[in-house]
Amino acid sequence: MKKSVTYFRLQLKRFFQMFPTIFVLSLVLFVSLGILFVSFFNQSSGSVRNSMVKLGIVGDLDEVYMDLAVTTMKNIDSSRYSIDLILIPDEETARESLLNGDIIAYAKFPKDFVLNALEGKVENITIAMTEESSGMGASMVNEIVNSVSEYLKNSSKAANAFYYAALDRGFDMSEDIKLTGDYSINIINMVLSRDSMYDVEEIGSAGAEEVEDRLFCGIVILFLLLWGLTCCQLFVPKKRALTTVLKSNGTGVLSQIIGEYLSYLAFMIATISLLVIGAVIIVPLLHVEEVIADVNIFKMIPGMILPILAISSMHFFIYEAADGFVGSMLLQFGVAMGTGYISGCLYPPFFFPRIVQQAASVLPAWSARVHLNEWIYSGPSAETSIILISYFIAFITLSVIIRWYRITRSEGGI
Amino acid sequence: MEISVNDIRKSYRKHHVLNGISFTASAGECIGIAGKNGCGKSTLLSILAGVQRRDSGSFALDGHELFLSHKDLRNNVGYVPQGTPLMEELSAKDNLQLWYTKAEMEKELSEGVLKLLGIDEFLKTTVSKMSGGMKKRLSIGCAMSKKPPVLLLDEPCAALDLECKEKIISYLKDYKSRDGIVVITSHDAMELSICDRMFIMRDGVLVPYTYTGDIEDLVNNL
Repeated sequence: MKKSVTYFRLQLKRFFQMFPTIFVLSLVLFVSLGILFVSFFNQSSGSVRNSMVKLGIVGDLDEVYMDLAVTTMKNIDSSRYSIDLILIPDEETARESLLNGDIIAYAKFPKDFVLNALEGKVENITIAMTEESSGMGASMVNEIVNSVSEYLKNSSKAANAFYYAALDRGFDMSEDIKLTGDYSINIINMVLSRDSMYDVEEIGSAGAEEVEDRLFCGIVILFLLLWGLTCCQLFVPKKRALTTVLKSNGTGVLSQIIGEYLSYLAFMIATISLLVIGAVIIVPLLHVEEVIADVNIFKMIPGMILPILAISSMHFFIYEAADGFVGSMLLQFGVAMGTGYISGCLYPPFFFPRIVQQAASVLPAWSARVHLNEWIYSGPSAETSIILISYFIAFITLSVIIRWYRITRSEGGI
Repeated sequence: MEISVNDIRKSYRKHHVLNGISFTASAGECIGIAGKNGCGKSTLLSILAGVQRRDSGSFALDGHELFLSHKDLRNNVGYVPQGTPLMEELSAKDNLQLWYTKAEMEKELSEGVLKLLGIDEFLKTTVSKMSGGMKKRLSIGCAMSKKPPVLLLDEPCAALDLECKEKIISYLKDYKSRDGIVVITSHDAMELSICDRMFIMRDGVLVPYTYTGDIEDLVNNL
């Protein structure tokens, strides 16, 4: 027992001798994931959700109906991808704005487009966009502009058909040409005022968790998963000769594993605590408090105990099972990113096929994320706690078995 | 004092590594075991050290079976494997703390085994900055913490320079002179020079061999 305690103390000393290096690596990881979180948060947060997609309109600004047409188009969509139409005098300027990212796309209206349309002449609008902007928003813009073009053309045709039909029947239409034009515009306005046809109501995100909550917990768990990489030099190369001699001198495999794991756990908690304290001090200075406004740090810390136990024991098990520096690093990284990704640490779980969701729901990363989420935002559940404790016990047991097997069953010298 | 190793057998599935190893050694005697790589020398020592389990066989000290009690085994047998059983990031002193109490360490450093091994010269040096010879001396120092009457050494001078080898050999001679029993696996001429009796391990059994100092003859007999 005394030797086991000494072994734990020496392991702890060994770990903390590497503290400066590992802390710098942890800090880099922490900041990187922090930036990732803020950028993800901004993409999904309410303030940006309703931000305008900027669409350039290139056309003759002096044309009578162009301004009216643009105003009409501005009213056609009040969904999440609202469009801000910007009148641009020439295509060269529009192209420059597009390449600079100031606008997502631009639509070029031919000269006298509206007047020609009123006379029944069909002319196409040219839409230009970059490869990067060909996403969902751009597709919607494309559709909307095409719709406007079609509406303009068809309504003008109807107005003109009415005008010539009246002429054929002997009506004097010389004074009514303006009325016909106004009639055409009224049709456009009526048809395109789609925002009066529906209301957009957001009823939360798919799944039980809020997007921002899931994202925060996901990034915290991803950090814990990836943190194992920073400690590679503590575990590789393996100290097989030492563990063998310890065993021959009465410090059994279980005592060794417990001593090493507890020192690793203590080291992990110390490093992460320091980072969290640093973050608590620095975040207010960066004026990004709104991203973690709902997080009660005192509620979060106890919620992290079981995820830390499960994930640190997983790191420990991987280092025990893997051989060599490259193999250990690759396995740690693969497991961290793979399980973190499908467990919803980055993207919502419903993003993945149902079979992947089902497989992911039994992973430690998933349980850790859900457990932390429940702890912070609602209340802890027994289910995730039991799963995480089971994983902790399983990983430690497997580590003991692997070491015992390596010491007692492997052939040759040590 | 005498050790008696009798009919030790070990196999890994169908691979029979040890097919009945038997030998005896008296106080102050050094037994050398040579053999080709992978012939089972290290496996034999790890079984005698209690690390690996044998399929059958016994290991007795003065007629008392050591395999029956782990405590007896670790109190009477010191084991130094081929690798470095040390924590590389820590100093020699830190490593010794695992095996010695503070009082024991101070005593051994001033007049005991640690002094003889010259460990006091690099007590505060981090293991990763030590030479191979220093590491090996420190490993032996750790193995000697319980002052065991039997010392098992797995190629202790492999890849060491002459000065380091000389220090280790000198210590082993001193240990022998204090009635210690040494079992050593080796291919090294200097190490073999301190052996009182030699065996060559071939096909899982020990074949007696008389070492005359002719390495070529030894190699031909492996």
